[in-house]
Amino acid sequence: MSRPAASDTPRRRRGRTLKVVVTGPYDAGKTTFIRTISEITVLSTERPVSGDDDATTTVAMDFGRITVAGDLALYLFGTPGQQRFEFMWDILAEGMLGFVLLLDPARTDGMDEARRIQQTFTELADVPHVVAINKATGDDAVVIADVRARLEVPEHTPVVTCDARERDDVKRVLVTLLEQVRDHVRATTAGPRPQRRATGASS
Amino acid sequence: MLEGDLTDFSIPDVLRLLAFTSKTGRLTVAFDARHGRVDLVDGRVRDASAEADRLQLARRVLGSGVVEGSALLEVLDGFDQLPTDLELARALVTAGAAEPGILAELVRAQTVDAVADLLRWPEGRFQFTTSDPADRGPTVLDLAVAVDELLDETTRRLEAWAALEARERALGGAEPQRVPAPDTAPGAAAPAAPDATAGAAAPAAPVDVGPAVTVAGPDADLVEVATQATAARPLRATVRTDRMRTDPTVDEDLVSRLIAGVEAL
Repeated sequence: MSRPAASDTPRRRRGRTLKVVVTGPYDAGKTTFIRTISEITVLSTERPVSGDDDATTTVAMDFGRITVAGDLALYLFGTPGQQRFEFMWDILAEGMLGFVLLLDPARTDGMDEARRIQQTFTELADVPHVVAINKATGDDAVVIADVRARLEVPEHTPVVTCDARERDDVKRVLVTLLEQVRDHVRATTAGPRPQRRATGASS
Repeated sequence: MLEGDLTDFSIPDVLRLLAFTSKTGRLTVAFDARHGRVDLVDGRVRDASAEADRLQLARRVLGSGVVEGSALLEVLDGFDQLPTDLELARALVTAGAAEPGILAELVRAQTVDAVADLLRWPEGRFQFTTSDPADRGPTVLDLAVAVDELLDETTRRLEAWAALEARERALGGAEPQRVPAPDTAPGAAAPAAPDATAGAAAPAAPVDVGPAVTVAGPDADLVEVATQATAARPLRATVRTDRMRTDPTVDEDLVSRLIAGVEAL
């Protein structure tokens, strides 16, 4: 039997780091979402958008970190908004606990893209996700119902509204996702249950 | 400039003409919203893409394990605009992220795949513009595939696929599944990255992509190549591996600690 490599030992001592992916169509607010909650300066590779002096877009990925305890941290990875960087998705999805699908309902052109992203990530990994509607205006219940219908979000997947600039909103979205993850872990480790509880603080 | 319609002049005809006259420049092809290109130097193909707005080589190098994701990102960050596959390969070599021999093989495979994809386009417009490339001469990595060699390979693929389609009418409804290799069970060591002699041909269990096709290879992109064979009836490959599932060491208590920690922020 071979001995573990010497480099394995310090790695184990560092504690656990878990990972959540924040994805969504172009300009949904993914970078803002991560910046609002991350305790470190978000590593972001943004570039100016052609034809718009004020706008930027993420060309590779965003990265943020939340330290929960001395031995436990949550990493947040934001996917690039541009379709041509899709090849990054496999890497970012690897080992994730779940993902947040962030979208801006005002961008009607983003809805098809959101549906495609949702489908792709669902196929990439058997993990829970939450749909978070950023920049929503009007009645939350109406917006949520509309998005749920347009994206054909499964019944057990929460759909929530949020303002990606507000720390409490971002926390709420993450907690909603982590509650889904906990239920998922419970269900997969305990085997099939007669009636799996549908969770989520949303419609 | 040379331009025309693919219903009048097929891509193989155009490529043979450009090879025969030893042209240097770029052949662009457009069909619906898709844009492809083939770069030639002295009548030989040096780079090609069937999706000019995507980095197909990036997926291939990652899938083959030749380059780490972080190294790829670092190299990509040095570009102000989307590089071509060859430009990306050269940058990876220059950065010391990969061996030029392995990358040359991957670029060649990508180029053949791209031309094969272009040949499946049922119609479209083409345009060839001559230009003298600024990077003519010695470089860290270059490709010069003879057009005849390229067309032999792509034609063979198309004929094989046509025969396959004729034999298996239900191909469009295939639900591909990856068969886990014995050494990819949870806790098992990850397969070793291919070395300079093995290239991307690391041994792996067969990948069944439906009732009609079985391809062998360790990477998702191999499955994709196989299943994207018909542009008119594209198949979607669902690749599930153990590494893509929830980490088995994540338990309820750990997630509960995470929830409490985030709530306390």
